[in-house]
Amino acid sequence: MNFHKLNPGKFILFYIKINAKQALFNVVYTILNALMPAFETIVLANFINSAIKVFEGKRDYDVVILPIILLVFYAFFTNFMLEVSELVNLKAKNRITVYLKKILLDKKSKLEYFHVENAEDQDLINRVCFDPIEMFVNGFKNILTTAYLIISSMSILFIIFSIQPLSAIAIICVTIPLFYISLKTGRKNYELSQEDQKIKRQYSYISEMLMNREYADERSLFLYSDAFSKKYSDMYNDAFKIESKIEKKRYTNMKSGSLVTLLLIFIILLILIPSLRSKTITIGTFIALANASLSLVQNMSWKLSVAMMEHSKLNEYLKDWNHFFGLSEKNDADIAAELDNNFRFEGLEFVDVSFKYPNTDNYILKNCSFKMQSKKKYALVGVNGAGKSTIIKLITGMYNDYSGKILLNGKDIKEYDYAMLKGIISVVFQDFCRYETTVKDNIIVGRNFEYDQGEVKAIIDKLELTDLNENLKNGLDTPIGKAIEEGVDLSGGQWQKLAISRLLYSDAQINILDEPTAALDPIAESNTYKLFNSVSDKKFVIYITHRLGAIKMADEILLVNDGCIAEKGNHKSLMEAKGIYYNMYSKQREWYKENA
Amino acid sequence: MKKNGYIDSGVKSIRLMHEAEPKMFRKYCIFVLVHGLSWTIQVVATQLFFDTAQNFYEGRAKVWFLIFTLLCMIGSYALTQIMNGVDNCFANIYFLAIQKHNNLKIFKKIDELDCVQFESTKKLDMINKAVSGSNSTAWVGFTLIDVFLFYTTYFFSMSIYLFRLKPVLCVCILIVFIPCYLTDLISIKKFRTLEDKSAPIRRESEYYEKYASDIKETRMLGVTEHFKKLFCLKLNKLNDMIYQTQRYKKMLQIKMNLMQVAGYGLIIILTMHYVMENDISVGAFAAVFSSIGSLFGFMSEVITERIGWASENVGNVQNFFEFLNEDLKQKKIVYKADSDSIELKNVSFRYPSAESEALKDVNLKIRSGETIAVIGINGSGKSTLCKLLLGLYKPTKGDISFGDNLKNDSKNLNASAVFQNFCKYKISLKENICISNVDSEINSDAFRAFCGKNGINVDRFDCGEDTILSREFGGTELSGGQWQKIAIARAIFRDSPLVILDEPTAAIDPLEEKKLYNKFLEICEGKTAVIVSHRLSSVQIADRIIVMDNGSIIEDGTHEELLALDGLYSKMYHLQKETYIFS
Repeated sequence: MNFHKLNPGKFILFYIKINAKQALFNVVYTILNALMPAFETIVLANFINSAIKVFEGKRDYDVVILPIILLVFYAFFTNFMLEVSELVNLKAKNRITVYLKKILLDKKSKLEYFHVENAEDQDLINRVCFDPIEMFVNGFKNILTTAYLIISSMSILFIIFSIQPLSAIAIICVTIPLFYISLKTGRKNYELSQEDQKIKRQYSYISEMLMNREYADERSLFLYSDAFSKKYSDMYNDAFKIESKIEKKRYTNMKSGSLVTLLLIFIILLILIPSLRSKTITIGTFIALANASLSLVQNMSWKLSVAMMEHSKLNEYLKDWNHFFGLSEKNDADIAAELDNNFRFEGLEFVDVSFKYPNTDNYILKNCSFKMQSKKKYALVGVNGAGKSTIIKLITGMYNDYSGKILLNGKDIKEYDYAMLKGIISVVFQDFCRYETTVKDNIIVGRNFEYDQGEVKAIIDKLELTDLNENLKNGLDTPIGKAIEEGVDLSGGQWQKLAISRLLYSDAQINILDEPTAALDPIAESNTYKLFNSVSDKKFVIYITHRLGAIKMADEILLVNDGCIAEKGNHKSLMEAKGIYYNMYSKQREWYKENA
Repeated sequence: MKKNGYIDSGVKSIRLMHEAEPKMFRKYCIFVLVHGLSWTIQVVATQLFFDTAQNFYEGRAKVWFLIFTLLCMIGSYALTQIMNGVDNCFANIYFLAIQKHNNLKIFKKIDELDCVQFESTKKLDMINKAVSGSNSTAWVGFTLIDVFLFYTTYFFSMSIYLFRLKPVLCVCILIVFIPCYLTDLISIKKFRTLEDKSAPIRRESEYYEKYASDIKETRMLGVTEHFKKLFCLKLNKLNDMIYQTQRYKKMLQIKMNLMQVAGYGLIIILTMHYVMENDISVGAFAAVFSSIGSLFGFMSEVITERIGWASENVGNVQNFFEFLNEDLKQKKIVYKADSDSIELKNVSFRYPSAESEALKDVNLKIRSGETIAVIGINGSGKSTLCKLLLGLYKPTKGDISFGDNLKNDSKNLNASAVFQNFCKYKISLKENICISNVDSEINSDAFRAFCGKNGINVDRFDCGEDTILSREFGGTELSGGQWQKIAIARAIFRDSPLVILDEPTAAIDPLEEKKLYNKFLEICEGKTAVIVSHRLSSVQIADRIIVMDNGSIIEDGTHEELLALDGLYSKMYHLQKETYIFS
């Protein structure tokens, strides 16, 4: 079944599909339960009538035995079955949890990259994934509640109709608009609660400033606590006025429903009085009917308006849900990397590539063209925002919406299978992943978790990570980070080395390092570059950096400026050209030169 | 002990509620009392109406009296409904008022905390617990008030009603109370252990979910499926655990419920019996029959939901009160009347709950007006030194004395800083800058000029100085570089003789970095300035360089002096220089 586009009707079908048995049980239970007030009315009427007859001496004692059994059964059913149904629903909730979390994660993992950088889509994803289980479980429960309310009130109405057709018609005339009003107030209450959320977010941010750790240093230094406590207090007072108003409105809406129902009952009973006098209805029926309709009052006020509010909530959620599942996906997004042994990397070429990020007007790359050959080390340099990282995003297929061509071995990169590109290209991103599992996993993740003990050991030695192997309790299998209990904390530099080791361990022929040294101090930075050079002398490498000193050893340096390659050549030739590179380099060198 | 804590916290909660809004407190008590009574009135009125109806049916009552009793009954139902609404609605509004009161208390207490406390996970946990406890406080108070004024009133008046009807009925109610209470005691304990056991698995599954949905690196590595599988594995395990305990609890409840239902049935059979014996009227029977549902409903509500909830949360509430009553001993900052310098004598510092010292035996004197560069590799103690210099941390050993010119009050120095992870407040542009000196008033023109001097053009913001710097609150989002300018302007706005710049340049490129330092110094002319960095670009503008390693100052002097020393500084300098100078 296609769950990508849900409306309330399809939502029910989808829910039934996940949990057929539980849904069936609930439907049967709801119908039976909804018929209970009518059942109770009939039995109670019967009992009272029989009892009166018994002490009038008209009948024997045994006529009341059946009604007594049935009334006790009624008490048993309404109370006990509720618990049983909750037990059934428990199991169902578990199934729903697993099912929903799986399909949501599946979708998230297949999304096209640009959704991540789009704040609006991020909000959408957060909204949909925040508490889907609650939405689904409550959504379905709510539909059942609505059905319960309709069936139980209709069945009582039916009894009234069989006694007094006229009053029943009168009731219908009042009930239908009442239902409509509840539907509207339910929606209104939902909107009110949304409005309320907005106000709450604002002042709770101020309370974060006054309480959270991340603000502790500045709070103590700048001493703004008192002033902002006052601001909080003022904002809270303003919000308080609005919130109390909303709250009062909400309850008035809710309770007016039950007051109207009461008025209705008053009218029904009033209409029945002449029949009682003329004995067309018995006292038993009269009392039982009054009892049944009064029991609906509390239901009508709470359940109906809550049900309608939940209904609006579900509708809003389904809108988000459909929107989320409508987000575009990357083909073969979560396919494993595929190694083609016949593939030999020869060259990478950008031909007149222009690119701007979705929903923006500025071109980040403008007719950018360059050529790179295998077995050489390249460096992409330039100031922040020049477009260095964007070039990597295009090579790795995160964005496809560019003009011009990117050629890999002379063939358009778009014609390669994504699985194969994953096997060819390996990247250490600026914001690399910290897989908080084990040291070993962090390295062998580079080759789809294939473990080669010798190679891993060699890499650890080369990167001077031996202390990780030797000092940890279980060596490479010791958990690291906070995900697993008793995990060992690593320093930023150690994490960075692990990210680099991943690249070394992979079989990829194109290796990209996107400013991998930001967290390292100058000594570690310099060592990393040297090391990477020594361990990967046969690999094709692209370094990206804005620190020029470290990449002098690159075979070719490409200076990215204003969206295209402004200068290229090796360090020496670029210095001789006395262009932008020369200027940048000289300025950076100045710090050292003055005293040299 | 625990019992005492329960009562103690409850009484304190109620007192706090009263303190927050005495008027609302009285109102609430009255509402609750009337609400409780209204349910019994409803039963009495129902019986009256049914009895009259029977009399009327048998020709013994007049129509106008029947209509009158009908009106009474409808009126009593309306009263209950209205009171139910008023009670709940008022509780929600009152809760908001209490919350504000509690939060202000917490803010004040947190403000009194030493900021080093935020480095201790234990203390952080305590603060978090206190905060979540402050929310529970009001509801624990509400529960107590409800138990005494609502449920007690209701059950008591109902008992009188039933007792007058037939004393045995009253006893039946008490019997049914017992199983409710038992379930509750057992299930709470079981749930605690579940919480402890499932937390690590939940956390693990959350991490795997995060990795699988990383569509940058995980996708490129082609290992999404791997993490998905791990995620599903943990999720299933977690769900099984939750299901087992919940099923256990439910089964227990069902067993207890059976007893309750039996009691329920007993009351029905008894009343029916009395009707047959003509001991009670048909009306009374019907009234009892219709109210018995709510009677049992309230009973399990008060015990399993309300009291159960309160006993689970009373620990939280205790945390809150403990936090508020904590006695904070503040070490005073020592000023030296005769000098303008900052002096550290044998200062050591250890973070709370850390095993080793972050600073070891540091001796340092900074003269007024001096510009100092602090150099060292990651984790060498540079940032910790800054916080001591700012008076934010107090040394665990040794003494720091500050010059008289830094005098502000007994707790804080008149100092300013840009921290490595400076705050990006989601408030207006003006507030973002003026937050460093909330007491000073500045008009629009002066503010515009001040911003201009610091490289911020107010006119380029959508709503000028009132632009909120966050999209979440309907404003604009800034880039890293723009934030940096704001952070520096913020530090400058606090007009203080000491300014510290703690590696605020990680996000910008080296060219900008140099410009920024120069600009910073220009603005700080005449002030004592400390610049911290792991890059050496800052050294040229400093009067003196301090090199830190492993928590100690290992070198101290001018650039030339340090080079001559041929130590760590010279090593770092040559290494970085090497990469820029032709061989």
